[in-house]
Amino acid sequence: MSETNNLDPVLAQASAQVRNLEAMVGRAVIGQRQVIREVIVALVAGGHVLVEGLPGLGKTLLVRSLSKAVGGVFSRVQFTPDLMPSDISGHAMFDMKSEEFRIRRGPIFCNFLLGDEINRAPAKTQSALLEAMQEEQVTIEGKPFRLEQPFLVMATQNPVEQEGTYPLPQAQLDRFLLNVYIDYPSEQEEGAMIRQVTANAVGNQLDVSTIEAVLTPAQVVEVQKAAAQVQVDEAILGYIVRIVRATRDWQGIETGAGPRAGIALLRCARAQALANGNYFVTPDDVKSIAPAVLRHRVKLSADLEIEGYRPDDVLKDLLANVEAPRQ
Amino acid sequence: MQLDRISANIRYRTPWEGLDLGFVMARQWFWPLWRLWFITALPLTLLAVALLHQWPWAVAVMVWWCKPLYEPLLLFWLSRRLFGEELTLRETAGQWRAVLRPRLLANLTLRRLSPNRSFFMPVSHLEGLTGAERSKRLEVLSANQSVGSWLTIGGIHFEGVLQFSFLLLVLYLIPDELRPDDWLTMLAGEEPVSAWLSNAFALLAMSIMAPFYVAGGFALYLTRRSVLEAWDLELAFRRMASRFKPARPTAVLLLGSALLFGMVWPAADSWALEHAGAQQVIGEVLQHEDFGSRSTEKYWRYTGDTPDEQKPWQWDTSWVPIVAEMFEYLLWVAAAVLLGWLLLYLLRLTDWLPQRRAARSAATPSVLFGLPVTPDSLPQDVAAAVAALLGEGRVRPALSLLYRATLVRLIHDHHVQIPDSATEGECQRIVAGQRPAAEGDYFARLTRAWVWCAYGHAAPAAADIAALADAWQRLYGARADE
Repeated sequence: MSETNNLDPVLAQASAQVRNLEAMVGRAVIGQRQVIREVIVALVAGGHVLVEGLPGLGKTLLVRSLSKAVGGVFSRVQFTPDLMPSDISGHAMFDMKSEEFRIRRGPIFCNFLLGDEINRAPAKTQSALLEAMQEEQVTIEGKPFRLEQPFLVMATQNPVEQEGTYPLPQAQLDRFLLNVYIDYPSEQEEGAMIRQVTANAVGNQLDVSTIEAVLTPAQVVEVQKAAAQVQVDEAILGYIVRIVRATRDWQGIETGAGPRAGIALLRCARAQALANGNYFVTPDDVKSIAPAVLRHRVKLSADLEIEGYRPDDVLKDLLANVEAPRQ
Repeated sequence: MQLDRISANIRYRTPWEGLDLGFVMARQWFWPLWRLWFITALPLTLLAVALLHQWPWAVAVMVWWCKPLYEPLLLFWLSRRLFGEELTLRETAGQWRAVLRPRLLANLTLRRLSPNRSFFMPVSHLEGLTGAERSKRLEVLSANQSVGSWLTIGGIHFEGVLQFSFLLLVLYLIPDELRPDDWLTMLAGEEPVSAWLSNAFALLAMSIMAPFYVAGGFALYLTRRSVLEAWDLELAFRRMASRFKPARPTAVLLLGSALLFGMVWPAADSWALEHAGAQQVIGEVLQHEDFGSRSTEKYWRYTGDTPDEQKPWQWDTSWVPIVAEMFEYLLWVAAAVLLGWLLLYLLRLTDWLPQRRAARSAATPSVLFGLPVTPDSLPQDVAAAVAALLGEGRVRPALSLLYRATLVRLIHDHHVQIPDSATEGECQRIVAGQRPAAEGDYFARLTRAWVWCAYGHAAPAAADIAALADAWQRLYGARADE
């Protein structure tokens, strides 16, 4: 069809880069296509990801692969109850030789930060990280330091073993652009994964040697700018607003999503459209990414929680009842 | 009936005392009665399990519903045992056909839920009465009697308590480490193990209660009859008669001698006087407080219509029989519908009926994506209308018409169900899944063109739309022309 020729060259290049990146990460992370897509959407939309899933499902491998494919710096912080804010952001230390204070930057100064089990750290440490995510800078000894771009935080939460944790409050959950749920891989994918990980491997090291850098951090920033240019029709805006507003009146949802959710949904839909090879957003882009954008922004009513329902169950029902855009 | 052979002490009893007598009988002969109950209950339970093993709840309902099959043997044995005849279990079981047959169908249907089942059972199974005779008999027996109903109500509760107690017993025998936290859910759950365990304990509870229920009802029946027919007096007279029997020849001899010596007439006069005196003495004796007191008991009993002249004022009730008759017909219709539904449900459960095809939704949408999608909203010749729009340079309306026409054909002619919330991509997947590949491919091309036009604001070339219109004509044109 002739319409594909209408794709803006900048958008076309950005779209191709995103798809290359997705394919490259998919080399190391077997299966989990949806998870890879959602994390890349978060990267392209300039947001952060809260990942929920049991240990050993490939979260670290995913971030390391992404980091290597983008040529960025990767850090990992294991959140524990005694972790201090300065352990993440850094601190000033007195240098005996030069007899002056020197800033020692923390692990947050990177492009890709994996925060393992964020809910195990106390609230002040969580706040330090979340502030940095929001403002993209940290302050050490009163001096602000900009974080390098792109900056993606992938924080994990373990859905089991919740004893002794500090669950993130709703307002802080809202800071995450997406909430990605990693489930067990299929039988076929699991077999392929075990084969690949154990082939010629000694010990427990994650193998990302097959990953090549297909982008540079600077190119990622360009892709992010291109995503912001993806066209959005009024009907799509109306659709997003309808979805977000529906969460506020939906039976079974105690607290619906705020306007920030609508903004996040649009940003993600743009990134999703780019990853799909379009320079405009379609209702499918919105609908496919909506669960990941909304699942941590809605709070289910107590009776549904007691009955074991998850936000995805309610959101699925909601999306099946919100009218698609009218043209 | 040989009352003098009865092994219970027959005296005047209140119904509650009669019930106590029944429970004493049940305790006395519990083991034979319990085993007799299993003679019919166990084979039927095994049959139910074999037929309905996929639905434990259905087995429980069937075993419970067929209780009137298990109880007559107990009654038969009790009735013989009480009058001194000792039947073995084998002898009793040998009579099962004759014992169970009377009014079996009615007992398993109309009378199954009667609260007086136990109390009325002897009338059918021992007296063998039917029809009007039975009704009249029951009317006399049940006048001012409620203990039979209470026996049933109490029995239901005790049965439930017993069943639950057995379950709890098993639960408490499980060590703490192995006992599930949510044990209530486990007990009431639908897992096969808990369902079958519950069924087994229900059977056990029924078997324990059955001797008490049958003996209680039988004793109530005996008590009632002994009151109505004064069995206690009859027995007392029989005892007196037997006491005086040896003296009777002597009396006859004396009487003969008296006649012989002409002493009869003066004696007869004196007897007449004694008789009159005796009446007075009897009256005096009956006045004595030892000979009981009079009491009045009131109860409701239908005695027929009151004559009109005796009624002070009355509502116009001529419509009542009509309404009652209508209501009766309604009840019969409801019963027939319920029976039909149960049969259908059973047939579906057992897969004897082919599953009904999913009914097509009658609510086909009239508007989708803001486009009217009813056949009336389309022009007669869609392809020509698209060509005309393209000729006027109105590319977007032409594409819109084509997309709409395709949806109309899919929804109305091919019954493709498209929900109101479906996006274009979802529609495409639905069509690809339900229609032939050629149609799926066409719809994919059309959707892509439509999406680019609608959301990308990039109208496809007119030639592309014309090609799509031609393809539409080939796929759906013939049907549209009909």
